Amino acid sequence: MSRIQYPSNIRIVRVPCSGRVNPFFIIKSLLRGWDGVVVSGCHPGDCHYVSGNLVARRRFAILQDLLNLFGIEPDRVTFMWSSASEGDRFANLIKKVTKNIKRLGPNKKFESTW
Amino acid sequence: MVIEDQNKDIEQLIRDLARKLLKEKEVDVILGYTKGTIPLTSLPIVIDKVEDVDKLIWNNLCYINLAKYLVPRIPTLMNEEGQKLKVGIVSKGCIGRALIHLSVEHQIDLENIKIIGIPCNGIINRKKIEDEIGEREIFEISVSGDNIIIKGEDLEQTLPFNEYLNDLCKTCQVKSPPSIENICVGECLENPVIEDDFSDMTEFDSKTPEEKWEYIKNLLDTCTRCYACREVCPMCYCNLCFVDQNQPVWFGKTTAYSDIFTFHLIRAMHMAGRCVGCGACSSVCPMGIDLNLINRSLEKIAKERFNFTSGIDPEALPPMMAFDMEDDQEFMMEED
Amino acid sequence: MTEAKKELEKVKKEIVVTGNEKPQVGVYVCDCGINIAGVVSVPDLVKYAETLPDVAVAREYKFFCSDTGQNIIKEDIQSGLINRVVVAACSPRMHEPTFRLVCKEAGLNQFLFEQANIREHSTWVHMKDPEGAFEAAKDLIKMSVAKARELKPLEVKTVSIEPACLIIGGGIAGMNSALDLATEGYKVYLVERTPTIGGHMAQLDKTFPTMDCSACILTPRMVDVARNENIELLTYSEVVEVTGYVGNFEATIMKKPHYVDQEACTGCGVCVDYCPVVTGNEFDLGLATRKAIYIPFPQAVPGKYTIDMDNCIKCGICAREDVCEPDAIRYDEEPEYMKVKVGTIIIATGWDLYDPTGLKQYGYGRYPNVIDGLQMERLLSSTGPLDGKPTRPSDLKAPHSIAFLQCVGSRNFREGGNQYCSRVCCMYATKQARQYKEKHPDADVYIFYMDVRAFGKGYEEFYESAGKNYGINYIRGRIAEVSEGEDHSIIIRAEDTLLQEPMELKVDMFVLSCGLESRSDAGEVASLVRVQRSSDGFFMEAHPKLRPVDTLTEGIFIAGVAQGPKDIPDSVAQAKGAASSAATLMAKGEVEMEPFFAVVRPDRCIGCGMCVENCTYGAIELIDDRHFGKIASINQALCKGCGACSGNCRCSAIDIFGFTGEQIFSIIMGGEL
Ligand SMILES: Cc1cc2nc3c(=O)[nH]c(=O)nc-3n(C[C@H](O)[C@H](O)[C@H](O)COP(=O)(O)OP(=O)(O)OC[C@H]3O[C@@H](n4cnc5c(N)ncnc54)[C@H](O)[C@@H]3O)c2cc1C
Ligand code: SF4
Ligand code: SF4
Ligand code: FES
Repeated sequence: MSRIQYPSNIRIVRVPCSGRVNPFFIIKSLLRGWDGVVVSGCHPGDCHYVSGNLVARRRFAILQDLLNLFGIEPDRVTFMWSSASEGDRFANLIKKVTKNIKRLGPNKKFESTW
Repeated sequence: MVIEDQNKDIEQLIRDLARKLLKEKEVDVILGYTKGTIPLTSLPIVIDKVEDVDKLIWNNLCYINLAKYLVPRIPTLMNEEGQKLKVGIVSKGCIGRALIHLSVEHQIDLENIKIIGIPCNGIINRKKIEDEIGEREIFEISVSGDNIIIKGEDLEQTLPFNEYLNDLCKTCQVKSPPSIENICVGECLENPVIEDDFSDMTEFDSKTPEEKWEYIKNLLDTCTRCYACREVCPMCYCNLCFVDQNQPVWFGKTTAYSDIFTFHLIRAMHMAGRCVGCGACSSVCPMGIDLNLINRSLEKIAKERFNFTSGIDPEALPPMMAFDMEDDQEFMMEED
Repeated sequence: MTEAKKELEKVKKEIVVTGNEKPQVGVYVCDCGINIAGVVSVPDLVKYAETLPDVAVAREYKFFCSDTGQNIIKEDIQSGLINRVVVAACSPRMHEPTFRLVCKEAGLNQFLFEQANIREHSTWVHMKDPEGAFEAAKDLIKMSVAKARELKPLEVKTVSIEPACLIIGGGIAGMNSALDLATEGYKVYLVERTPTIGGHMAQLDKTFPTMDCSACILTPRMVDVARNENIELLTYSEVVEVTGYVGNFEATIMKKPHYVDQEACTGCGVCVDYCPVVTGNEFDLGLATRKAIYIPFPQAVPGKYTIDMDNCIKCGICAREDVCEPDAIRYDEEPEYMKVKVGTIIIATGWDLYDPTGLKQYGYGRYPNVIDGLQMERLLSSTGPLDGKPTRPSDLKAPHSIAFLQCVGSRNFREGGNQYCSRVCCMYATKQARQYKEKHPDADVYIFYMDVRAFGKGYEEFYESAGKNYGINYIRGRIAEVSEGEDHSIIIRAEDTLLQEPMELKVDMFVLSCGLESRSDAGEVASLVRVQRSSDGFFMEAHPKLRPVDTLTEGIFIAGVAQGPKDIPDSVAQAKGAASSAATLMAKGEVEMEPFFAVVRPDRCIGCGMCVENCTYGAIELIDDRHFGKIASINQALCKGCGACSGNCRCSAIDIFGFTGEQIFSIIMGGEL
């Protein structure tokens, strides 16, 4: 589709819908050493599966609140909506994410330390 | 009324109701508390004879959430023919909340129980007492007037009750179980309205992420992952807890801090909108970790985001069991 | 059949993979011409792939989607070298079906295939950062191999297709789709929200470039639609709910009350003479009036009357016996709801005209003699309010001079405008200018344009002759602003960009050639049927070039301007294409469903019922299992595999085929533990 450029330090994992994204995936990615995690879904009302993203939104709201509670930097995990036709928006948001994460530096909190 | 007298009244209420329910064959058994064998403990007890009713007690050490004993994973109380027994369950507010929430999650059938509502007057915080007493061994602990009396070798100390209460009891607004027609007897709350400003959270909330990280780290660092909190929690009724799952193994089981806090983080995730604030987890923790901060934020998230308080209304769906187009999404990233 | 294919047919054997044997992954890295190979070194990617665990072979080819490319993969499968396929190429959206078929044809279960999208997710979007692109491509391959190792064979499920189609919108596009499908023997429900079919075409006078009369070619088609036995025409109706999935949609249609019994009404029109309420006629864009009881225009189909309750004063006159002899008036009629089962849906909801009120400099809505192109169309129409003799709104005199302004609201990158070209305005302005000149050869007619786009068959000739034979003045330039002169004339201040000179011009009438926009309620329709829209607001096609009538939702097609601005011939062509695509699908009688269902692990499920509430499709219920007690159970016919249930389940008791926890886990871990 669109060939708008965005930073190359992001890897995409395909899921059927944002509703599929279990918090396990996010936390495991951070434990695995990824410096940040982005979950992107269709805008509310536009979910291909009607309300998968609404189910997910509650889940992510809670997860984000809890990450804050535990003192994880708020920008480590990002949730966003971006539809298939919004190449521009996706690229802009990804640029913003990478900028945020660069500012935070490496993900140290999830490192295995005794 | 002083705490000592309140306790006597509550105990009397329990025994009277238990006797009546058993006599009138409203229930087959009563599930309640009895005296523990070591100080600072109480034990759950099942009573099926009117004569035994006086074994039932109430004191400020009855921290166990008895609802736990009714979830399917725990062996069900049956008669000789293998039929489920009808249970009368001694219920402070948080036990009532747990029962209601468990029924929303299809774990118990409210029709099959009788809630014996009592006006809980608070649970003593063991950690606070131990901090005061130090290493010395305690033989006996009792309430006299509005004071806690602690006896041990070379030790007799009087502590003001109010200062040694669980923090959560101070913010608790559901001291008696919410009333449900035909299910509740005793003292219950008609249509409780929860108004909570969560002012106890303000100080923590104003910390920077780094300060929060340090604070929580200090709190959880000593966790040995004995899972006592999980075992005592009425909402932890999974067949196989996520930490024990294999294929794949999502979470490590070591006591590296990353494994510890991700366990508590995901456990909190699973408790959001479900925790009933009984504090059994903190009371039971052998390392004295107080999970109240986490549990309070769970209540706060549920209330402030989704206007939901668990275990109040048997008809209301908890946040994760519902969705709404109009939910707030201020946490979602937007373009600059 | 090519030689290679024949060869393969001969040796073809079924490869049995249970999922328990050691995975042997074949990795096929596609050059995609220069799309991939032009940015990263494909040979190096191949070398890297060879080092990954369980990779039996890695190969490069120019186009793996080509016949030869496909055969390379087939041969590796057939020779027993591999039992899992990873193609590192473009987006799975286009070629996943291709490569699944490759597996299938080579005898391997088609779900033992995984695609690494190193084009859209690497070489295209990191074109300016080849090193970064290379690293990204490596990881994407690594992740796909990791997932491939966890793939298990799956069985496709087929479901039967209801041989019926729901068409939303009865304009020229919707009507043509309906007629084609009905002729092929499919049941069609044609839902139109106004009291008549015909759409905007009914408002046009003549059609460019042939100048045939719009009504003359449209009306017979409208009658054909009404007469066709296979078409159930549902005018004055709206679709309010759509559930189900390809082959088995269920739509709820609301029939709005006409307040006139449509069976009983004979269309005699006596009521109109008696009705005391006079109001603006939408069909004539407010240029003429109608009564509260009305038909939109004389040729409307069906030609039955409707009461506009917003304006009706319920005087009761039309209900009088001597007025409505058949006794058809029903003041208390309620909306009726009906449910229909259809296998396919076509969206043909058309367009709205760009509203130029916001462009203050052009005076629309402020000066009476500034009108829009569709209003001009009505003024020119022989069946219009002025019987085809256009006059100025201010004094009802025929204007001596008219100016048209092109690209109003189109090709405008500022706020409030649309960026795209509306494709019909150059031609319709030329048409209207010609028509006026035919009637008033002495009149001065000007067309202000940015550049004239005459792309269609016969269009350039049409435009050429407008200047040459009709003396229409084309002026290349933008109008800065207009003001009103004496006698409501319009004074135009513009720049002639060819002469590079400012100019001022006084005309009697000023016509804004407004562009076409997506329907104001297109968003609601999109959520209703669950299709996506492009950034311009029109419904989005599955592929801009190769699947222009499909949407990304299987079984749902688009036709006409609903998909993007186009003229009548293109609308009809697309409508016929949509009908044919729908028919092709329905002719098969059944569709294969991707077997990406939710599955419950009964030993883990505790029966909390959260998933039951999370599933939009009602696919889950709690059952009492003899052995496991209360557990969730999935109805695979309803499950769409979205995973909303699985994302929440605390017990990991519910998994999604094709996206299992284990597969995602191995992707995250990159194949390492
Ligand atoms: C001024 C002007 C002049 C033109 N002249 C020409 C010309 O000379 N030659 C030419 O080739 N093209 C011309 N065009 C373009 C032509 O009008 C379009 O190509 C044509 O109308 C497209 O038809 P359609 O069926 O896609 O849409 P429409 O004509 O808009 O029909 C859509 C139908 O769907 C209905 N509908 C919409 N939403 C819903 C809903 N939610 N539920 C149910 N029903 C719904 C509408 O009521 C309408 O009846 C002209 C355009 C303009 C603006
Ligand atoms: S699958 Fe999970 S969410 Fe569904 S009932 Fe079982 S435990 Fe609950
Ligand atoms: S994946 Fe789960 S939530 Fe989604 S449709 Fe299937 S059963 Fe329902
Ligand atoms: S399909 Fe559900 S969020 Fe995109």
